[in-house]
Amino acid sequence: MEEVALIELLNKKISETVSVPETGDAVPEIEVEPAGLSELLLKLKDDPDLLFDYMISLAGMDYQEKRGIVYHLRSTSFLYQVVVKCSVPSDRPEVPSVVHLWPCADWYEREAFDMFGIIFEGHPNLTRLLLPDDWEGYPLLKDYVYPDSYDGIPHKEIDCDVQ
Amino acid sequence: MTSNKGFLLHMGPQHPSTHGVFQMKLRTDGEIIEEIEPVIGYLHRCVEKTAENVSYPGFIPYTDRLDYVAAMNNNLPYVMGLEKLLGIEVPERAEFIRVILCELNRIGSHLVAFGSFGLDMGAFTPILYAFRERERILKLLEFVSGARLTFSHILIGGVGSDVDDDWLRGVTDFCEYFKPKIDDYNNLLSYNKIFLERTVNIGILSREMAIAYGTSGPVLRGSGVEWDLRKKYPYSIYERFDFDIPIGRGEKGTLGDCWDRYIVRIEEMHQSVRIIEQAIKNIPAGDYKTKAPKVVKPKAGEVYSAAENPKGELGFYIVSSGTKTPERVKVRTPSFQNVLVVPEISRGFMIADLVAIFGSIDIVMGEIDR
Repeated sequence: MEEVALIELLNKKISETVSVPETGDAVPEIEVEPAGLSELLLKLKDDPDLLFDYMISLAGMDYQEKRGIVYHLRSTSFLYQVVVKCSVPSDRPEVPSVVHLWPCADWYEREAFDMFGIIFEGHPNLTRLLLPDDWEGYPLLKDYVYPDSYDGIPHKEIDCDVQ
Repeated sequence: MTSNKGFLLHMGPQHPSTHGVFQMKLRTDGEIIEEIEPVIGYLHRCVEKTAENVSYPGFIPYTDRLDYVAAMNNNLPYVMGLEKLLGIEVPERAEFIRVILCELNRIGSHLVAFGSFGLDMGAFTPILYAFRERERILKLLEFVSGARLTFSHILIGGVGSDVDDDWLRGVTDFCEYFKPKIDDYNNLLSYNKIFLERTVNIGILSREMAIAYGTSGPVLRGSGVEWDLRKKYPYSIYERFDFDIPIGRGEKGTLGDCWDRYIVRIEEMHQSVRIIEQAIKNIPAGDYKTKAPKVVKPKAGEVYSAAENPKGELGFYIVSSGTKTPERVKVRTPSFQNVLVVPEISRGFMIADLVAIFGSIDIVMGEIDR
């Protein structure tokens, strides 16, 4: 099994705990504190046995009392995949930016800021990406309240039919 | 924008060659581009927020509207992710039908890319040829799904309807009809002197940059990286088919220029035809779908499911909390990443070249803004 070999390798290289979720993919998951994030990601990218050179995606998450950032990384040379998860307190959602490691994180981080209000420290241009600059609030948060109107355009609630 | 020297020019959002409502703020020195700031969001429809408010199967029609030129391919990774979460096995016949439909749609998408790229470069004929062939594909897809663009035909546990021998014969006929057409395209556009002048050595994307910027699909392969999820992480039943990964070779100029990205798409159409022919030859009898639960309620868990779309890697990161609606769906779309290289590779080229660079990336705004 490739995953088993990768978990052994990761355990040797990094101090964070590596786990494999029971449902869904068998892709190893690494939970990391915000303080150790930069160091971990740098190691994952630069270690000659790992070389996670391709960022598949960066997803913001809302865990109610905490906010999360989920990195999906891939090594194009060894075909490894790994998920790195980092949680930050909702009242101070700040994590270091990784644009200098993977330039593609530029828009992902701006999107996560736009939708979840997560601040990426060191990002060259952390502004709203998809929403207008004067938009208020972060729409993908679970407690987001839809505004009554924007720029004089009224918003009407439509019932979504969930069966 | 970091500098305020030179001339500031807004290209788009209403511009014929931006392929949708996409804006670029250009800082130019005469005709030469010095800096580009892309502005997106004009087509934002909060797809990810919507996902948290509809049922799991209810999100399938929304995936159609991401890359609306290749809707069949969009359904697949989302449905595969759900099947992984639910632990559903798909019947073999359904997998074959899925492959045939996806590859047909891939050809359709590449035809649009080919035709509109020709149009961008000042050649009007290619788009007429491309749409003539694409019409036959749409007819075939309409026959099975009832829709021409937004199919929602790949469903949890299989596909929406079975195919009969007549339809399969129709697909075989199309393949026979289509194969010589690809040579026509090469004669018409690929090796045309004017077209070569416009695309060769323009917008060079190096191998390292292509990986660092997270590009995928023909943009990544055009830079000489042999990367195709169908081969590297085989999903569905793609490991059973014999096909090649076309890559850019710098045949006419520098590796990773506009022409390399373009020719990869043309060669991929050949490969798709190869896959379809093998699939039709080996399609087994059996069910076209398995029994899927009426109410989809996966166990708590998460999955990242990706597929090789015509434009690159489309992935869905689906998080389930054990309820009827997804906790979170993050959509990783290929165009979102591919378009990010445009400011980098256009620096120093002329404004007219920007049109070539942009056309060679082949984006769809529906999946950038979501």
